[in-house]
Amino acid sequence: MTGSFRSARLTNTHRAPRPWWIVAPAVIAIALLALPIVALLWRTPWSSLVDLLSTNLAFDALRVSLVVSLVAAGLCLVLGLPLAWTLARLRGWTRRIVRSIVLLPMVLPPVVAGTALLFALGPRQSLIGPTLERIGIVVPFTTAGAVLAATVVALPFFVLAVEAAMEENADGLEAAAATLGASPGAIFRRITLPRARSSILAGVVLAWARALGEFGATLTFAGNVPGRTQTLPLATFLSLEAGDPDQALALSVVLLLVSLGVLIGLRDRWLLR
Amino acid sequence: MNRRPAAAQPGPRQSPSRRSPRVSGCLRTAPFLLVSLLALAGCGGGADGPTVVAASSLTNALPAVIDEAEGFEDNATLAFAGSATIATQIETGRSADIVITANRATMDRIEATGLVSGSPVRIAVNELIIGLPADNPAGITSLADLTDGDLRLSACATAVPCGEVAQDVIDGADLTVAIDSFEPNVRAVASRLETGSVDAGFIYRSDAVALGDRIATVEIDPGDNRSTTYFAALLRDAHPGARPLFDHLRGAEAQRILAEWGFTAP
Repeated sequence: MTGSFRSARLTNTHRAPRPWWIVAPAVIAIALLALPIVALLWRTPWSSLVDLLSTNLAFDALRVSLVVSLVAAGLCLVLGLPLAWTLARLRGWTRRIVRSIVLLPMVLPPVVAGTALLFALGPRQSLIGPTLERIGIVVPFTTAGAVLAATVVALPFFVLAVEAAMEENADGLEAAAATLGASPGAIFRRITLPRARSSILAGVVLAWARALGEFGATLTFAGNVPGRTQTLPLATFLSLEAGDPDQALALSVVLLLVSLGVLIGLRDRWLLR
Repeated sequence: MNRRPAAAQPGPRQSPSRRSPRVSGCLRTAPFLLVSLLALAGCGGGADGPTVVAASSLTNALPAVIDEAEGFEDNATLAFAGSATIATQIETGRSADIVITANRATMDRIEATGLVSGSPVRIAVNELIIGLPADNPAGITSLADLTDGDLRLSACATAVPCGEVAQDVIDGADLTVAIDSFEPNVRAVASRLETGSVDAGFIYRSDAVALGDRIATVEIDPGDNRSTTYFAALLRDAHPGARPLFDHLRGAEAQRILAEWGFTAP
């Protein structure tokens, strides 16, 4: 994989001088990204790592994190795919409006998204929270609330990754299928979906990673409830606050390993693209 | 921008290739823009007086206390955070001139860094109170009412003084109270009450004073209630203006104002 990538590019740039004013900022950028990770690994109390991670706090946080991020990624798939398909078929001002609505949570600080959720779905003084509660759906301070917060911040990433692949292809395969009598639903299932497979996978992973790292919206909207909404990022933050940096570092290492695992699992599709 | 060809140049020269010098001109100005923006950010803060980092529960009272101090109204910089956060920040290198925490344990953490000049001093005491949304939807009238498992309750995390005191109150009264959400500081508990996200929460009396009728409160029986003591410390190599301000914090005038905000004397 690496070899083919290199030989393809090097034919053009072989031995060409690399201007320092491009290389220097690039090196700074690499250092900026790598240094915190190096520092994290350097400060991690490796000898007591197992003890630090066998605590209820760590175990609960890992469990909540996995449940919340996986369910949120699943919701992104189930809701985001139809949304991306629809969005790719909208034109004019409706497209612009829907697109802005989709992208806004990406630009907003998650804390703002959490605050907004609080006033939309919170138990009281909110738009539809009291109605939801009357029919038995309670979201704040529940795992469902954490899933909701994570889904809201992750969904735009999924839609953006998949949107282009949902457009009708220029080669006219969809159009050809239509003239042969295939229904729009069949075209979606038999042509659009299989063709978009790698984009969908990329979208799910992006959304899942975003959901796993969710912090602001979760803390604001779903609260910090151990065993229910206290995810790894929340537990990390509160351990550091509590003057227990070792615990915070141990939890950070878990998050780092999970993220690395995903990158390695997808290396063929992403890392070496 | 002066690299851009003048509009007065003859027509035929205005080929599409003219776009490229303009783009590179923009690229060239970008680093300078960035540097000047960074410089601008550095200028922020403005005040050149001492910096006071204080427990969240002093958010309202401390500005009032400092406004009364001769010469500090404008130039002291105040920052607020949960006491545990403050301790972590000092441990990891945040610079400050005066630090005020809401209990002894977090001040001990700060003292352990060796950065404190002299000894921390007691400046105030704060008691707990049960905070409720203004209309008290759950109809809570006493500490014992909080044992109802269906209630949504909020308190500070136990690493923060307000959470530790709340736990002491619950344990001392021998009650089973299930706290749902543990907040990083007392202001977060207060805002849960204000927005009605919880049915009740443990806050300080000083928060209740500051929030006025935006929330309702229920007193905890004096026998069950616990309090926490605020410690102020002057840090080493402090700003020259920090010492007089530190002395003012301990003075009678400061005590009078703190009392107005619901604190009691140490």
